[in-house]
Amino acid sequence: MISNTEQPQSSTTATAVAQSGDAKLNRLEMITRGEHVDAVIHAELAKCASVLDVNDVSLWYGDKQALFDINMIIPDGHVTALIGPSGCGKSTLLRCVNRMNDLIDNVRLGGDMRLNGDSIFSPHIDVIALRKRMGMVFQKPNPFPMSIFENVVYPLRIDGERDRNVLEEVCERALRGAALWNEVKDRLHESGLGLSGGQQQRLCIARAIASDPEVLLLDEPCSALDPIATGKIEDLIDELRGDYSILIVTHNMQQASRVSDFTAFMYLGHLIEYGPTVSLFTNPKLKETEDYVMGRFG
Amino acid sequence: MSQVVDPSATVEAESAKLPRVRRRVRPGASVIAQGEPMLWLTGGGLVICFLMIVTLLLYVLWQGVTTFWPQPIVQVETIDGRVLLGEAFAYDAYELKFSNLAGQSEAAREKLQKMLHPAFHAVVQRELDAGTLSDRVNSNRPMILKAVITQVRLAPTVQQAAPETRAAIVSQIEATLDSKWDAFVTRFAGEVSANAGNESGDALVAAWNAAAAESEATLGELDVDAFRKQFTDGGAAVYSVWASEAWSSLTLPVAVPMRRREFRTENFELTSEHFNWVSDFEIRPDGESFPEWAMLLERVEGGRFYGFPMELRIDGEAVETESAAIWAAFPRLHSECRERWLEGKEIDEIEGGAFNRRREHERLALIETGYHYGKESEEYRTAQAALDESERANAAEYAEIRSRIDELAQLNSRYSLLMRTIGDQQQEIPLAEIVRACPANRLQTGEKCGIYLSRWREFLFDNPREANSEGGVYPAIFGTVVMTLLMSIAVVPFGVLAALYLREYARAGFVVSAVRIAINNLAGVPSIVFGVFGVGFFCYMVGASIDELFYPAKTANVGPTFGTGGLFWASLTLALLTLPVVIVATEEALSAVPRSMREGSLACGATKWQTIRRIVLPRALPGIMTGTILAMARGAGEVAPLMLVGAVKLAPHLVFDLHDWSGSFGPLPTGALHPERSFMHLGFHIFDLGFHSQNSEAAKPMVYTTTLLLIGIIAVMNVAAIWLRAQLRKKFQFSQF
Ligand SMILES: Nc1ncnc2c1ncn2[C@@H]1O[C@H](COP(=O)(O)OP(=O)(O)O)[C@@H](O)[C@H]1O
Ligand SMILES: [Mg+2]
Repeated sequence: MISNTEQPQSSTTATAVAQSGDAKLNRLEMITRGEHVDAVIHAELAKCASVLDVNDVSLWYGDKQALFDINMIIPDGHVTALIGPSGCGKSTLLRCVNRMNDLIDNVRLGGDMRLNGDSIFSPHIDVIALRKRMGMVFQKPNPFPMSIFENVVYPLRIDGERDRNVLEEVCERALRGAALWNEVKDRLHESGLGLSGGQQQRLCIARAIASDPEVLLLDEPCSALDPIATGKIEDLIDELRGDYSILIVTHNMQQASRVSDFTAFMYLGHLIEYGPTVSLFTNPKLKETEDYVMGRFG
Repeated sequence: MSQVVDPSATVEAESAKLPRVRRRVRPGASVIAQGEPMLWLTGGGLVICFLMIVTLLLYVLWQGVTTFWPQPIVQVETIDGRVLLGEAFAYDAYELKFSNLAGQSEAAREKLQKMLHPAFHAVVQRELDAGTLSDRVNSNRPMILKAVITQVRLAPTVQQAAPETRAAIVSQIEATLDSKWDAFVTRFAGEVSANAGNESGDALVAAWNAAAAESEATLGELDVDAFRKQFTDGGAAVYSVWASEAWSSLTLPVAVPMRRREFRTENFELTSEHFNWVSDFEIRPDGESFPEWAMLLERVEGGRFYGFPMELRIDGEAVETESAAIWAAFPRLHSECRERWLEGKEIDEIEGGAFNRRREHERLALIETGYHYGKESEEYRTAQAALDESERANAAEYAEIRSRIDELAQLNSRYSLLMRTIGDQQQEIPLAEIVRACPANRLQTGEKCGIYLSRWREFLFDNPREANSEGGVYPAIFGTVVMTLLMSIAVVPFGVLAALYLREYARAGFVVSAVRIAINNLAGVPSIVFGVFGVGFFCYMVGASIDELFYPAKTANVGPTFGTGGLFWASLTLALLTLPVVIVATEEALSAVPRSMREGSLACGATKWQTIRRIVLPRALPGIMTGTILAMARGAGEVAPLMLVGAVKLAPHLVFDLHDWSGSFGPLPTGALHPERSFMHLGFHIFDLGFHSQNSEAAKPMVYTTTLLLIGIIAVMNVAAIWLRAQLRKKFQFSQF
């Protein structure tokens, strides 16, 4: 599935770049002009087991296309970062994974995604059941107006779980997993809204991992937080690596380089380059990617 | 020469092309800016609104709070020999004029003259000092002229003359007066100043009276020819008539400020009046006193009684005859009598009520049998026999209840108080009929407080007496509260569901907008329209159908059950009326729930309904509560529709009666709640007291207290809403970071 998109493309683009020395930003200009550009996907990705396959995903908000034929795999048990200038469709792509875009009127989808082999975009799929298989954390912390305990076990509550022991166990595990347990264990029954911003965000992460998701979607989880809280969340993501497959959107390059194993660079709805974080940041195949990660445009 | 163009020069050249526009400050603009006219305008608007509301509230508050405070009992003796005993109830300032003299007694007139004559002198003296007397007379010229002509027309001689003659006389007089006017004025002014020396004003009045007498004589005596001659030559006769009117015109500005007071004197069975107006001048010197033993009796029936205690009687024998001793013995005997009275009333209401209901029920059963099987049928005859049988048993039971009540009444009838009115009439009043008695002028502050509180207690917890103008408003409070609660129970679920659908499920578009506009418009429909709808739809359609289905026999023979106004229909009508409030408030509360919370819940795999129930509704609860309480306050204060759908002046039973569990709504048992019953309502009570009372003057204080109570209840609801909202907000507030 990946093999057919991978090698040939990167070779053709490499030659293209080599041929026209002046055409540094040609890819980005081509995209701006509305032309089609193929993504450069590094070979290392082919070796990974995937949790999520993205096949030819396109998305339209009304008449406006926001995603253009995205093809990528999200490796299992790793942290994958989506970077790109704001408005390039990172959140849109992320929200496709748990079909949150269904809530918006006039959204049209093309292609498909597969979560561990199960189609996501199929009209017959049970969206509720699908969402239960993943967890999502948003840009702004959004704890519910209820106690910390209830916040964490919310996914179980809606599944009708009543057993106190199960709930308490899950709550502790999730809070420990979100590195929040020690801070809140004495006030589990106080309102979740009384926590600080960083704690609230970790509470949301705890809520997201409480139901043991197959993939964890983080949409700029630190953008509303101060640097210390951001540091804690990054440490947390580091700890979650291996246990969970994480897809994180960030517009902070350092963050992407610190926390992620793989990074995808997007531009105006197109996937430009996708590969291991180290090579993308130190030795990108494309000049455009290099410019972006060096902060030369964006 | 130089090829190099100085860049700054270009800039200057270019800017020179465009005229430089500088902001000019127009003279005066700064003054306006400093004065900020909009500040004053907007602030003024606020102040006016605020003042109106505060004035209204303070007025109601003051009137309502002071009504029950015991007032002293005044004894007033008038100059014409009347003696009154009662409470000063209201007063009124007016201007006393010469015209008020007519119809007064001799003594009163004498007193009035003493006040009016010096005032007349003062007015005249002022004119004389300023030298404007002639001007004053001249300025009254049209009026004087008209009066003279009227006098002449009315003179017997002129009346008998032929119409042409009459017209000729009138025009001649007009001509004469025109030509002689200035001479008359000069002559009149001389006369006035000649009489002005006397400060008591009596000389002036005497001159006026003399002129009037002369004028009358002139007009009465003459025959037509002499009359014409006299009037055409402008001699003494015409002057006398003219002068009489000139004097009158001079007295016009004379007015003495005067106060009159309304005394509540009551003792209606003896005097046939509740109130007496007395002007201050009517009161004899030292004619106002506060007799120590003047007593006020508030009675169960017949209104208040003001008088002096003479005897406390047991079995018709005087046991105490001394005022102090009577008052000392009174409280114990009185409270015993009242207890027995209450006991009797309770037996009558509870046991007698249950008994009556049972009988009613049995009779209804017979009627139903008759309705279903026909009056000739075997079943009917059997039922009839059974009813006769139980009626005999009933008679015995009723006699038993009656005898217990009678026994208590018998016991009570032994005790009575003999009172003497200020008019020296005697009246024996049974103790049991006295609600409250006090020698108002002897009361210490503590006792006054006691009476004040006991009146409030009666007001809040007792039934009304005296066609609602006395006693309590308990049934009205009760009716208002039960109706409001039922209304809320009806309106909240519907309102919240409708708002949920509109905000959460419906796809935004034309239809939703149209529905929303319709709902908002519903809030602007006059409430009486809802009343009309309630009567037409609920009572006459739904209610009548229920009657037809479930109470056919009763409807045909006794009357409608649900087919007429009642608690249930009133509640539903008001629910309809307040529905927009709830819907709008709920929609607002729902839309205030942040999108991020819904997304958070949905991302956890919650269904839409789970999200609504667990996240959205709790979050929106403060807003929904506020809307509900506002709707309740609106509903509690509404009167117009209730007049049509079930509020009544006096309801025989409460709508929620713990002694009567037979309530039903069609086939549904509703226990102690009787949804078909009409009820009393505070708002309607106010309307009824103020405008439909036989003795609306006496009911006025009750109007204020009831208004105060209603405003109080609504204010409490609103404060509760605000408090609740603040509490819940605090609970659901995001922490700041
Ligand atoms: N609900 C929406 N309706 C219409 N256009 C949208 C909507 N959400 C996002 N877009 C558009 O889609 C593009 C991608 O948005 P987004 O995925 O939020 O970007 P990013 O998260 O990378 O900043 C943007 O141009 C944005 O204007
Ligand atoms: Mg985004």
